[in-house]
Amino acid sequence: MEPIISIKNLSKNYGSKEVLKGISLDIFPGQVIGYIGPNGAGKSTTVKILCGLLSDYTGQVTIKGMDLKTETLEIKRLIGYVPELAELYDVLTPAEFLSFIGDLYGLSPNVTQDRMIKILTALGIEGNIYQRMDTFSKGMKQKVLIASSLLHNPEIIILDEPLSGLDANSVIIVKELITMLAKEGKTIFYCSHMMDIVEKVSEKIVLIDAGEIVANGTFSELKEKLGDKSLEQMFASLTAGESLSGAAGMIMDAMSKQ
Amino acid sequence: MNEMINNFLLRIALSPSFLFRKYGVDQRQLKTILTTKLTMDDRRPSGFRKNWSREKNKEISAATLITMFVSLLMGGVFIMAFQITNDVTRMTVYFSLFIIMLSLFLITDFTHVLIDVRDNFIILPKPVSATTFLSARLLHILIHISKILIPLSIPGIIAVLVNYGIWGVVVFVPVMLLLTLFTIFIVNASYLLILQVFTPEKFKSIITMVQIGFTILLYASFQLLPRIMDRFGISEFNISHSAYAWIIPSYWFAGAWKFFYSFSGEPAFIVCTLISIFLPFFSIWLVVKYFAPTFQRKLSLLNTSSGSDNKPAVAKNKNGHTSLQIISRLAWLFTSRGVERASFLFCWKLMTRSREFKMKVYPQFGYMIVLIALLFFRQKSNNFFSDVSNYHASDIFQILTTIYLCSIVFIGAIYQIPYSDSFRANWVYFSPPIDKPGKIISGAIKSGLLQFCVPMILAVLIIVLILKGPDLIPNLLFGFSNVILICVLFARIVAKKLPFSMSPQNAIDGSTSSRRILMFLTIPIFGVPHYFVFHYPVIEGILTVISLGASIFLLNSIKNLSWSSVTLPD
Repeated sequence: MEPIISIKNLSKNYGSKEVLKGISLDIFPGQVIGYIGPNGAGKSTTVKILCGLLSDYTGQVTIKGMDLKTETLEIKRLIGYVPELAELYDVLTPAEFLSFIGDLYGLSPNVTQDRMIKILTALGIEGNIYQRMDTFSKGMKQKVLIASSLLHNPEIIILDEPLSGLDANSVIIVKELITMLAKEGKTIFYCSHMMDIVEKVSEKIVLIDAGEIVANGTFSELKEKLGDKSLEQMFASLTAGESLSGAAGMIMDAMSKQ
Repeated sequence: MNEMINNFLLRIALSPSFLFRKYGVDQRQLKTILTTKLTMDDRRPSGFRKNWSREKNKEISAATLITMFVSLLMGGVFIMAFQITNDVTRMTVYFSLFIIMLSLFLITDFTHVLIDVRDNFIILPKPVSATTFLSARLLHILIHISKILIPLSIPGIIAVLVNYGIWGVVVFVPVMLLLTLFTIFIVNASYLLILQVFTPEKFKSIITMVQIGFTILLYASFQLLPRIMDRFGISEFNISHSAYAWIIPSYWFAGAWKFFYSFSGEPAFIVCTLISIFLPFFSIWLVVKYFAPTFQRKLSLLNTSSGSDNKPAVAKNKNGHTSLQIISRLAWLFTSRGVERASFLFCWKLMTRSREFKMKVYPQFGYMIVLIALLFFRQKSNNFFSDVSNYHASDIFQILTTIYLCSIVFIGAIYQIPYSDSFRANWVYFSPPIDKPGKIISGAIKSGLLQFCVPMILAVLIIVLILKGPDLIPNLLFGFSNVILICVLFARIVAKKLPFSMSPQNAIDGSTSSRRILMFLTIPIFGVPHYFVFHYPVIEGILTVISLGASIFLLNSIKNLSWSSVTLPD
């Protein structure tokens, strides 16, 4: 099978700082990829490159056989993106915001309207469709963003910390949604810090640290390689070495001294 | 009404559809981006109204109308330039005011259009081509400008019509358009220059400083300009006689207007005409070709945590900067150990670092300086170092006003202290075991007094001493002790809110604004008796001690405020 996303030797610098150091990765249709790594590892940069936000990278990224550098617009049509920071135009109402997004994808207003109401109802904020979002909680904004990424029925969905601020019930809905989307053949690129959820939803886990892939495989493959540990423990041993184990002890120690 | 104006401008902006087709602009996307952006503009308080009036506006929807009205008003003020008799001088002054005003509008109101980083996350990941996106941004700017431009220039157009007839207007309008293009270029170039020199993180703070500077400049020009014109007989002045005229851009445009209006063959005006036609188009070409792409790239670095390798501002050594050491020393001197001192230091840092706070308070410093300059400007007789006993009533009035006005800066600051965009962090006051929240408030007030009131007092003290001599010392001391008392009294009555604990949305309710007016009325309550003891230094000495004692007493009473007597955030 042809990979839907193929990354070859991807590097990216910010000035003299090398953020990605030659990442290579193949992702196949219907896969859920858990993309994890500590802060500053290069996760967000990878996501921005995949979404076509950053174009001054070196290496090759092809999506469905198209080069990301030359066929950016075509590729953007295939992707749904949930940004990390709950970024939206919050003086608008969800209805206005989503119609705007629908228009940008060239959907007919009826389709947008129909899908938006269905998705927001499923996420439990149908009562807020016509209220301005500046009073919304982070979780509510996050739901609108999730809706905005699904409106155009994308083939690839890139989620950057999609669960931040969501309540427990919504987390269950989104987890289920991820599984169902994957069954439909959608490819999901899931960036997160929440190891337990990544462990549960991802088919394949890619761990990056300091701009390099340090582990790549299914959870059971990783277990074979790294021993029978939880993903959290694997993460710590690969990215922090021994430095974590002493940290809690040092904190306890600090409090005991007057 | 609002929507009508927006729709009208939108229709005009979208009319050259053949052009869009030619350059591959997706018209549907263009329309939807513009409509959305205009809707958002309407719901956002304009930078102007945020500074000029502070009415509570939770749901803003008439922003367009209000912006247009403010521009119309400003345009009306500019007509004072027409008092000048010489044609070119008059136009130079009018155009200068116009350039300043338009740049100010562009900078204050436009930061959000130029620097809406959310576009990076919302529009750019969607299949929108670069041409479509740039066209949308450009048209958005044009629509926005015309909302300001049209009302701003209407009074000028009428004045030209009255003074020069139809032909004057026919020539005036295109010159104004050229001037506008040129101004857009200047604003763009200065943005870019700032971005070149400073890191993107600093960009917003710099813009804030520019905005503050501009606000003060504007205020000063309204207050001082007519008086300067009066005093130096500028109304008779002919700018063309001065070689310096050539460094003023508005002179070029004034010259061009004169050339077209009278077809005078004067070489200077022909040069002006050439410059004013060539320069705007050249600069717009520069903007599109070189500035816009660089700008875009620089902006995409804004707000991206991983996007820059600039280190955040950190204290230089363990004890922090020397300025922090001085502040700790001040805290040690003026506050008691524990909560009050902590609050003093905390508020000091927030007041000096918070952009929103500076934006609201610093312009008042500027207003003060302008007001004081004004007072000295009014004074006709130059009685430097004359004996105090020879002072006229008007001299005394001037000195006392200068002294007592110092309290206004503090009152402005103290009023802003409870409000902050990061008000949700107010849990810091509730989670630790604090017995008396009055300590937090008194720390904040002392911090404000030392940061805003004392420097102001010292500055005025030094200026007055230099200008008027040491005879005034007893009066200055008494006056300033009263200023401190007024400030503390105001703080005691109004400041029942914890510092930086409330949403700026709640900043105004009727009761506080009426209280504020009341407080301004208390200034004469102290000032008028001072007037009567002006010539009696011994009485002033005794009153100074009493006044300082009262301040200390009031500060202590603030410190003892209990949880039940402070206003808690919702």
